[in-house]
Amino acid sequence: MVPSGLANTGEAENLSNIQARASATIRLRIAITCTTADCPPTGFFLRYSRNSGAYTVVPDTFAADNIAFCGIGPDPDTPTSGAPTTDQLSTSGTFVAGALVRTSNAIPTVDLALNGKTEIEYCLSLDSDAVAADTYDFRVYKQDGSVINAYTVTPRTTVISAFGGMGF
Amino acid sequence: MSGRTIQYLGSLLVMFCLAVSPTYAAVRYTDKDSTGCSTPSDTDYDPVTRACGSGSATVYNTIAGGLTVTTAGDTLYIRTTATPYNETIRQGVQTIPAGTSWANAPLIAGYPGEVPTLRPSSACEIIGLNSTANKYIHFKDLKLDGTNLTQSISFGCYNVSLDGNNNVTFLRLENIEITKSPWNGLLGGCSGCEFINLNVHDNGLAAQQLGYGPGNNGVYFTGTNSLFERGQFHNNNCYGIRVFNSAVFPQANDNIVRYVKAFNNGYGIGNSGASTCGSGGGGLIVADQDNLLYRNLSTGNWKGIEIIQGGGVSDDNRVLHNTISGNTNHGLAINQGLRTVTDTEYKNNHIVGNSPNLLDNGTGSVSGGNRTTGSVTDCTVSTSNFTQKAGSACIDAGTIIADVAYNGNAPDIGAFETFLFAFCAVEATTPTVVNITFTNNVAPPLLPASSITGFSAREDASTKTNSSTTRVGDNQVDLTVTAAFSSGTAIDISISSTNLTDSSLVANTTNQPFVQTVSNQSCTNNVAGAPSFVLTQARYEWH
Repeated sequence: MVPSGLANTGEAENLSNIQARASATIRLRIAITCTTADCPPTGFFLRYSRNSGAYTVVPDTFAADNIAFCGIGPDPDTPTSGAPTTDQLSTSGTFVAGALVRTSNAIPTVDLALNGKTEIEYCLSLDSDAVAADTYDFRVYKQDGSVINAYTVTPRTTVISAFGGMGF
Repeated sequence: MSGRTIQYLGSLLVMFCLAVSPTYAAVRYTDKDSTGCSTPSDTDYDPVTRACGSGSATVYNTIAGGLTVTTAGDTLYIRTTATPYNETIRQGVQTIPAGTSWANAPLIAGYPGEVPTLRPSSACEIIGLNSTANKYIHFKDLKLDGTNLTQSISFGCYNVSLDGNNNVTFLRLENIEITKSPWNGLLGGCSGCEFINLNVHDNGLAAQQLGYGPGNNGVYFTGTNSLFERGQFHNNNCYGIRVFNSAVFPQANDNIVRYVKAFNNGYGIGNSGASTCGSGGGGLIVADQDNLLYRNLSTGNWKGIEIIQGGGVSDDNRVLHNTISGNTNHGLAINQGLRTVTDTEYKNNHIVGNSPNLLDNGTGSVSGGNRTTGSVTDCTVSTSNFTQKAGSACIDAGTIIADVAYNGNAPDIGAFETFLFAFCAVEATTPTVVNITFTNNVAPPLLPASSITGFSAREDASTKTNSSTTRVGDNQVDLTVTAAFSSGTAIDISISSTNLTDSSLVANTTNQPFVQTVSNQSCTNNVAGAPSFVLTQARYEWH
């Protein structure tokens, strides 16, 4: 399935610099691994960096940066908020279910043992006036606002102009 | 002085002075040795070349001329000249500027780095103020030479003459040398005044030579609520500083004399041994009420410190933390004249090497923590350097006074208070820096602010290489090393032969050095270790 709004779909992992149109709803699944030792239960927040600025918590409603969680409105293509995730990405280790996150209140707390892994999927929307060529980078943070230990990948999407004229 | 908190008074006054550091509305100059300038004034003076024609400053060739245009907030800088200024600064003779607060007190001062001399060829006073209009005036960096003042047996002449009824208020004399006054170097009173780092010496000889028997002092002060801080008072005919009135009114009450050094004053000693002071004289003498003598040095005088009764009541005076040594006729004498001196508090004074050390004929005196036995060098570095030495018998040997700060378990005895190592730690955010904290409640901040020597650090017994050692805040020293400390290691520091001192600046010359032994003192290691677990954002996928 090609999600609504994706100009360039990416079933492949770690696809760099995906393009998304203004008003699009996009879903991003991130895998987190635990190595070296048993990890404590951790709540994960998603933050974004617009145009390489500071990482900011994704809000529930649009603000000046034109990005927000997609919300909990009914959408046949999107699971309900909090739905557990399954092991889909190619990281190794013992999978622990994460969750699908559609609002900032849904903070999955995941307890990963040594060599464990989890996946959290975020549903995000771009505002209709999102600016073409703006970039958004995404990273998970701990819920106390601190970074996790490492980011070997950082997904980025770039805004392109919304469809004009009649649809198809 | 009852109930007054002493410990932070010095700091508060300094902070007050800094906080209200005035902004001067106009800066003008007096320079009688200028080149190419019109008289009495010119407007194109260059303070660097001291010539007119290429500058833009206003210059006068006399102090009096400069004073005529100086108003609140202004500065009049007086230049050093080949010969002294033959001028005076007197109410009723010259225009005397005034401010309305310390923030706009006019500054009449030697040009920065210069100390011009005022030596009038004929006058009875050099600075003479007597009006209620004389308030908030700041004199700084001047030498007042009374060599040529009128010498008379029938009336006194003084380098600085202030009204005896305290009409003058909020006068500040700072870095002023007062010398060779025929009578007292400074006479009179004022209220709310500050006398900072005065150098008062060789006064009173002329009156004695004319046949005036009682003698004269470096300072004869009858004012109230005023401060004498730091400075030196020496080789005067009678006392270095006298704070009381021989008359009943006004009384000299609520004054503070602190961190000064009074030496070589009085009978047979002052005026290079020529003094025949009728009262004997000495370092410091106080009567009247609620005056405080705190952390002064009084050495080599006829008497060290006296508390007597003057014209009025003598009550509740305090003598705290003074070093009194090498005085010929009593170190500390209370009511030697057998009049009425009540409720004198004298504590934590180091009174040794005098003949005798202590006489107390007062009523209701309260004493404690004084050291009157042994040699002065049981505590001090030498008989001329009165700072506490390492292992001093005076350290922590005093008695605790409720409103006086100290370091350690108890106050030290004498004018100087040692300060102590308190704590050291290396924090995770700055793993190359050892934060070393000191207890220095009496005379902050620590000095110097940078290039501090004598500190070293080790990690697991291996010496680290120093990068810099600087002061942070008032009482912390940061020792920075070239390589970061690691988590879980043993960190310790040593301090040896350091140049670290407090800021007591007694006599405007001497701070207490750090004398405590600190060898391989353990520090807290707060450097974070390698993470015990690693959470990694490892993969992602768009949908």
